Amino acid sequence: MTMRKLLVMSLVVACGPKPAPAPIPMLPGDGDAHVVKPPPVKQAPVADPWTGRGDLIAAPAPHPPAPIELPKIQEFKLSNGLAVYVVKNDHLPVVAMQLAVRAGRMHEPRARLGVSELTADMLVKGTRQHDAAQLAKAIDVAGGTIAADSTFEATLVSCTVLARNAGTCFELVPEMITQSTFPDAELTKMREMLIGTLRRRFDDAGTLASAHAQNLLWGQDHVRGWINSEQSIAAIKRDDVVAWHRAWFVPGNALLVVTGDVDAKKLKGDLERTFGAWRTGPVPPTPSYPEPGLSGSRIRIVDKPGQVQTHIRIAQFGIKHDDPRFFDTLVWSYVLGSGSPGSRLVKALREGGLTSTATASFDRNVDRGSFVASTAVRTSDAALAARRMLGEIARMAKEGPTQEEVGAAITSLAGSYAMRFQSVADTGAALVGAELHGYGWEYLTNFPVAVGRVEVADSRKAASEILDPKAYVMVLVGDAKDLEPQLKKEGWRYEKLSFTDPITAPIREPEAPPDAKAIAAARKLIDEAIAAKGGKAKLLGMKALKMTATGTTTIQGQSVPVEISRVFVLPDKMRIDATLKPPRAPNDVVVSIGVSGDTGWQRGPDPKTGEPMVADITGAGLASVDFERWREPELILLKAADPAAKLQVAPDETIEGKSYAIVKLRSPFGDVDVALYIDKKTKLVGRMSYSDGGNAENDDFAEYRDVGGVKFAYKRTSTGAGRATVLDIKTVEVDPKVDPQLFAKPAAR
Amino acid sequence: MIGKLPAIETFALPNGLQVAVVHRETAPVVSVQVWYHVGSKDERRDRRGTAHMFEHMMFKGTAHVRPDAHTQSINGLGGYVSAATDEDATHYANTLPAEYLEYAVKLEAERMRNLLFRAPMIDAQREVLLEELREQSASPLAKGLEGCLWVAYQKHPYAWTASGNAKDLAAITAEDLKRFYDAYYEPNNALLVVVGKVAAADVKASADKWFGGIAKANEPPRPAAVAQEPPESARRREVAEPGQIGMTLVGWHIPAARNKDIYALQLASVVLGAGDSSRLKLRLKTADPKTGRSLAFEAGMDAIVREDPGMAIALGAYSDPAQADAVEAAIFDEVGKLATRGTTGDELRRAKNQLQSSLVFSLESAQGLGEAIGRSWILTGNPGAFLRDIDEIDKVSAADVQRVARQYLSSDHATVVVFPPKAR
Repeated sequence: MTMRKLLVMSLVVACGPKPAPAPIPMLPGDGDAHVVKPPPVKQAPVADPWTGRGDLIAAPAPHPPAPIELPKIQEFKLSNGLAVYVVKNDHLPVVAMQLAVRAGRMHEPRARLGVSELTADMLVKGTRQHDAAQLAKAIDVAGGTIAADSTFEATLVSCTVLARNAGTCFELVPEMITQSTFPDAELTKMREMLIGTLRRRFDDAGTLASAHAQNLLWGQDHVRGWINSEQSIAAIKRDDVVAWHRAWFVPGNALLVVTGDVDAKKLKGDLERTFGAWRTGPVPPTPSYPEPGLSGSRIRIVDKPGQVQTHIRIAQFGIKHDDPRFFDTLVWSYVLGSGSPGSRLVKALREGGLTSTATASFDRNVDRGSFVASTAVRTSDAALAARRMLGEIARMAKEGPTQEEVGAAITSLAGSYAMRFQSVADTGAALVGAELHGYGWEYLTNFPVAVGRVEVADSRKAASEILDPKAYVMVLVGDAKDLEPQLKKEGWRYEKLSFTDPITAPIREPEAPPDAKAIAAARKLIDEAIAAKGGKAKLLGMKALKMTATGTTTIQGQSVPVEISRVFVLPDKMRIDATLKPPRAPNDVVVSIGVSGDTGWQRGPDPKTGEPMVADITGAGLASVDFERWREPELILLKAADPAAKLQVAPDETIEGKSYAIVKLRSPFGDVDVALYIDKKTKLVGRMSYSDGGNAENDDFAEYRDVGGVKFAYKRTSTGAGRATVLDIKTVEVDPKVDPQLFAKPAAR
Repeated sequence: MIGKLPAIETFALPNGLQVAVVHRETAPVVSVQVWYHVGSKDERRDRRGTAHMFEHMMFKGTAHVRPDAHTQSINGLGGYVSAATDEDATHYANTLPAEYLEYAVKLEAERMRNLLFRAPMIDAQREVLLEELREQSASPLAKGLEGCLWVAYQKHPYAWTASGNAKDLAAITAEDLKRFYDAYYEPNNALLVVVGKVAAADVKASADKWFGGIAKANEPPRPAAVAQEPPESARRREVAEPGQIGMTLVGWHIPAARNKDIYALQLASVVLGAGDSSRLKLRLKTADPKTGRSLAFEAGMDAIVREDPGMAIALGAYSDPAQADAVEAAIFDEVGKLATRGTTGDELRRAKNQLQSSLVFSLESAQGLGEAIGRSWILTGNPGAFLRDIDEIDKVSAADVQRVARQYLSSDHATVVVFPPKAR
């Protein structure tokens, strides 16, 4: 119904009060602080019709918080151990079903970050009875919603339908849980989608700041400090998803809540039938990690050149949900950072017009989570804003909230709590949360009363115990060139990262002991691929290669026609000339690269002046060239055939209808693996892929033709990190005559 | 019957204020809403945007409430406020703990007649609205829809939407606003809706106490009543300025909300253009197996049901200028097929489930139920009409859907507006 909503929404201008327009950013040199000027003319006071009046409408005296009355709950267990909670509520003909499995981020192994999210996303992508499209259609026809997601603590599956279609949820949810097939093609799409989301994080300074704050606070050895990366998602294979699902998705590790207009008597039989096939099994132990300590402050600048606003996060350790100070903390945290105009952070930052948006909150989890204060301000105000936030945190730790603030916080917190119990799915979600955290129904009903019992002295005590003004981490995501002088002026020490740096350092799993059978299988595949390519003798006999090609290269959505000539003389001489033809540019752009042994040069237009220039290739550039020479597509099979080569067989994959066997070859460059996709029919290499700093790089090969007894791919597509190049090979010459001067460093023109 | 639905109690105050109450036991929450029967169709042609500007002004201070204090005090009690304006209505909603019912009623009564028109506030809100307009002009969908309505309505004020117009907004004076307020923000032009864990007697007492003292006013002017849209006798087609993306919109005039054919027309729109398995989405978004390309990257259809005759609008969005004609032809072809061959049982079942569930799901929250009541009153004069709608949708047959497609969605009197994509 997206389009319905889209169209109608655009005709209804829905509003609350509007935020004030953003102030105009100051440019360097703006302002008149150093100009001698006459004293400002006193403005006549603006007439205010309300000041001094006694007849304004005052807010009502707060009512004492009362328990929430909720419908009765019926509890039972299915024969396989699944705990079921039923809340009958027939005020509307709606049924909601929510299943929670205690399998979330906190249970993930470090080497498989993101597996809970990927598994949840895959639950709606195919079962033994329905493929992804059929599942989507089934819920579409019923006019309902079905969704699966994973949180820090659990995987949640929810389904809501009209009561007359309740059967759709009762059939589909158990099917998704017990009969998921995790099809490869869907997994590939989902992985790409998740990687796309992660890439967009680079454009979202707020999300980036929150991720860095968790990482800086909890460190690299605690699950809360681990942040997904493109590399971690790319590393998750179907086997990992299947293993995760098999280990954690057992009835004894789950709970089911059914709410709404249900026939409670009939329900148990229906659930026994549909969930009955869910096999039982042991529940794996939940991993635990030693909590890191925090002494002193740590500040991290995440440099995002061109970022106009700086996003600031100040984080400390929070409390567990069962901490006796939980409700006291809820109150002082509200006073500090509810985001309302009267909250302390907003008041502190509104002064001088820094911002009117600032919040502070803490995680409510089974284990201790984080306390985080957040805002975003003009970069020129970043240090000032951070100082004021620290000041407010220190003041809260020292003085705590006032009587009046505690009263206002209780009224708002207790009042807003009731808003969460309006739909049948709301009630179900609240019950799932309470049960996951080991609380019961009474916790939910008595929540407002517990908030109402908070005393000023207790809230002050909790603030002074939990907030430590001297031990915190601070993250600033903004333009470092403008941030660093401010931090230096404050005398703050900091570390600096680029916004594109991986937040959690990638780790390698310990290598599995070599499996002789698997290695033999890999060698057989390589031998078959070499035979299909033209045979070992032919490949070993090649001394030089020259290819020319035309095609297009697309970078960030801009496509440019390109012509390429490439010469490779074994073992280490290479020359590439690329002519780019930008559509509206007056001239072609020619870029050349020459390498010989451990020297290299590059010729092309100077990025600043456009004038031709020649530069040496050194350092990281030369390392890239080494890698390119090593993975030369025409010869890489010989590297794989070397008896010392480290090989592994990966599970087969199907791409665009073709089935590939996959052999991974360990390169000598930073333990990078290059995966060779061998077409199971032709035995020719259809793809070479490797991961570069978290980015998947793929080279695809098609339309093989015979040149002198060796098969060469005439269609080549190279994709990775927002760039794609498609080439049609025009000529291939084996052992051409090559002028040695071709590799010598030329003059600029 | 789909199942149990809420019971609505209605009454009126002597000054003409209509009141609708639903008592619910679900959560200790109440939604207090006032629906004013005034929208952009009541604006002067040279003051487009007045109704929306009004909605903003209503938060910016009255005789006894400081600017923004209404919102802040409701938030302070744990509640929230919202407001919205469309062609037919403007409404204000306060959702808060049920024990503060009377306070919300008092605040709404206060702003019904005691709004202050202060120049700095008017100018500030004018700027906010102009900024909203600028943001909206960046949305191809909103721009496309505005363009389509402007061509489709030659006489009726549905030619423009509630967003307004920059030139007109700049011209609005405090006197214009005051006139508008006195004409439409009156008890006899409003419905007070109260939904939640409250007793009807308490609602009546609060309404009497705070709204009862407001005098009844004259009947408000209805400019749209004398600007009825003549039937469209031929196809209208316009090619607009190129946009960032290509978009072709095809619109048809449909009857007003009170007409019974509206149910079948809504179902026809869902069959054609809502959900991934709808006909237009399948036809326009599915890639051709030979070329690997689809005609459009987005497609859909919606029946915009209004107090006066509204529109059904289908659209396709694409990036290749060469696709424009094919997209238009495909839309007419799919709509034509529905008119000539009708719908399948599966499609109709899907459409009914989707329409009914989106309506029933929206009734789960106090605010959603209040809004369904308010909208029903605006569209039909009956606050409980939506309850009947849920059953009426069930009664529609495949033959009805085919008949309305033939009767109303003919290619001969459609409005076509094409926004070609800018050449890249």
